[in-house]
Amino acid sequence: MKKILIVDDEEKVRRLVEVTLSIGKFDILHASSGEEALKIARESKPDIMLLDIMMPGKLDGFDVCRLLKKDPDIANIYIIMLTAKGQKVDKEKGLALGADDYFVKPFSPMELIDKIDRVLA
Amino acid sequence: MVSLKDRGIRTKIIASMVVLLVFILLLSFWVSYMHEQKSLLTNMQDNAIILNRALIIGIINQKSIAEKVNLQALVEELSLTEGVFGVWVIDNHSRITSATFREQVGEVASCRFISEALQEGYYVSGFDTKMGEEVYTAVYPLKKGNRIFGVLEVAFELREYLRAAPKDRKQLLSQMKKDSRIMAESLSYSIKNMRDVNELIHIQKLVDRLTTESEIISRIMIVDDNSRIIACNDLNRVGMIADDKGVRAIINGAEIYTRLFPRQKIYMVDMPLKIGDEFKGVVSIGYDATNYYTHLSEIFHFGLLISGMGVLMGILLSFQVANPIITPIQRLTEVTKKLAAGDLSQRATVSSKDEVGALARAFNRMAADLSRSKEEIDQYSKTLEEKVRQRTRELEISNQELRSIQNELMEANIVKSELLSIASHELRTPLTTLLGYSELLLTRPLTESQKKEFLGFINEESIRLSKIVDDLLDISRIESQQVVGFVKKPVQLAEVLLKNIKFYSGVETGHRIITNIKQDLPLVSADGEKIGQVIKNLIDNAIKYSRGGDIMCRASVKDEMVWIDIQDQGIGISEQDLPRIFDKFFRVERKETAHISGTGLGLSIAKYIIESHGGEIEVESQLGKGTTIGFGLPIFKD
Repeated sequence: MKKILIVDDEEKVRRLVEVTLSIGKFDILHASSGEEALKIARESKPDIMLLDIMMPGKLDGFDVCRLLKKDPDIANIYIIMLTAKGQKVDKEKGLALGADDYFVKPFSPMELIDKIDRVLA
Repeated sequence: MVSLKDRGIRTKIIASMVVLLVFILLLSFWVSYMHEQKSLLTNMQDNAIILNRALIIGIINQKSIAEKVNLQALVEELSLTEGVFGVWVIDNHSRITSATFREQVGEVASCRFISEALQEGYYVSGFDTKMGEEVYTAVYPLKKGNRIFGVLEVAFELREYLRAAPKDRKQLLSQMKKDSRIMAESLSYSIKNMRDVNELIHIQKLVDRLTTESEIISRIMIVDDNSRIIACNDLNRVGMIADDKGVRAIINGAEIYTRLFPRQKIYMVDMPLKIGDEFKGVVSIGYDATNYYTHLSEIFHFGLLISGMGVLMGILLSFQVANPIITPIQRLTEVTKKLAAGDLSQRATVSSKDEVGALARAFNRMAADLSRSKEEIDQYSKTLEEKVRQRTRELEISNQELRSIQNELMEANIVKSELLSIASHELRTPLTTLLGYSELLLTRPLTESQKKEFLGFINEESIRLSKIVDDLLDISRIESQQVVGFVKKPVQLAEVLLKNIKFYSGVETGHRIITNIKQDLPLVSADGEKIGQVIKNLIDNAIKYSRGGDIMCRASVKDEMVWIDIQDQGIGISEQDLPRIFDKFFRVERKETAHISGTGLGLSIAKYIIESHGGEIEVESQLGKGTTIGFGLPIFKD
């Protein structure tokens, strides 16, 4: 079963994604901060990571993305940025750091699941 | 030669004066030299004319010297005959007229046979000694008609005779007698046409005497009208043809012809020898010109000396002339240089009344004008500098103002961007929830409890969104300096406080809200709703930044103001963050606050509202212990 890690400090958003993806056969993992996201990523090696940027704590989404891509063990995780930072520079920065996709909040759950289906197909 | 162009005026004056003086001196010297030369030559020429006259007088009795056979030449020819020792022609005074030995010409013959021959008119011959040699000599009288005018003596060598045998001697002797007779006869025949042999002798004698006795005459030559030399100081030349320019010129009719021979130092004067009007020949006299040349050389040296002195005097004189002109000009030049170098106090000290003086005075006027102009310029530039400085100061001040405005603008711009960024995030998060869950509700088959849960989320996030929008609007109004529409009324703050605390009574926050309200608090003039918003804001913060614990709300009177204090037992604020908590968008960012959301606008709105009421807002905090934020509003007075 494919593993998807949801990283967001807003519990409501994590829940939304979880529910959205509940129609597929995924193993859903949660992380509410950058540090937690890295930890779980290393432990569970998810296939996809849905990554928020603006999170409390030392590591934001950009940091997580960079560190992830540096670690050969987990560099192959498909990263979809899921963030409220909708400006062009933010998107460029995220993609430059190695993110595979970029979703701006508010997002459509249907579009998200379509995307994940395509990635995992 | 050094070009004068490069030199100073002094050098030019001196040089021209020296040149002028030397020129004058040389001219005068040359004139005197020429004059001296001319007078010397004239003197010698005069002498020559006098001598010429003397000669003419000396030979005036000769009828025609032009016809003379050259006796001497004949004698010398005869001398060449073999065996002949010598030949002599002697006049009737026993004087030798011509001789093989030229040096004897003019001497008195000593032969004992001569007087006999002269007196008796015989032929006499016999042995004799001539110049230390044994000779046989024969003497023949020379006759013209019956008159004996001289004798011819021929001396024969006796060497052959003495070597010969005695029988041959007689024949030899007769042969010698015969020879001598033939010679005498041919000679006497040759000189038959001569008027007087004596006269020729006289001329030669005269010439000899003149040349030996006179110190100034070094040559005399007398030439007949056929250019034959009759007499000459150089006997070797007698009988030869004279072929020099002077003789030719005189024969061709010139009256006098003079030449100088500088190497021999001789002045030659040629003049015709005339007896009456009859041209007889040429007298050529050579004067010793040593004195002439010595004299000229003395004059020349003297001239050189004078010229040298002239140069010296010229230099001295030039200095005398040039200095009074040049010194003031030099001084003026010095002063001009100093002036040009920037020393405007320099003045020329020339006091003369000439052109130089006028120049100096004009210069001084110019210097004074310059100095005055410079002072004016200095003064003007000083004023200008002061003006520039002042203007610069003003500009600096306005620059500073501009810079601070610019900084403010830049800050405002940054704030605006921040606002946009934060607002975007803060707005997008609830919107995500709203959009996401509503989509789920619309598209998914959901259980009733799920529907209820999702609708609850939607409701919460809508309230949150609404609050954010309110805050943003408030702050936007504050930013644009619009006066927020306050509706001020006398208000009891305790009531406002209690009303807002009641709002939290139904919400599970994990906190206990305790009140401590003083009795009979005075009223304040305030917009109750806005003040309520402030109180709610403060309580919200107290809840957000503390995990449990009591929240104490106090109301009291202090310094003519009614104070509301909200105290929590939360995380507190660090000292460095404390001054910034009222700044717009400022949020304490620490690990503990990571989960707390907010716009960072609440406290800055609160501060604005309180200060707009003429009140004060204060904060006290201790890290880890808690924070107290309180505000006071002035007591309402009728």
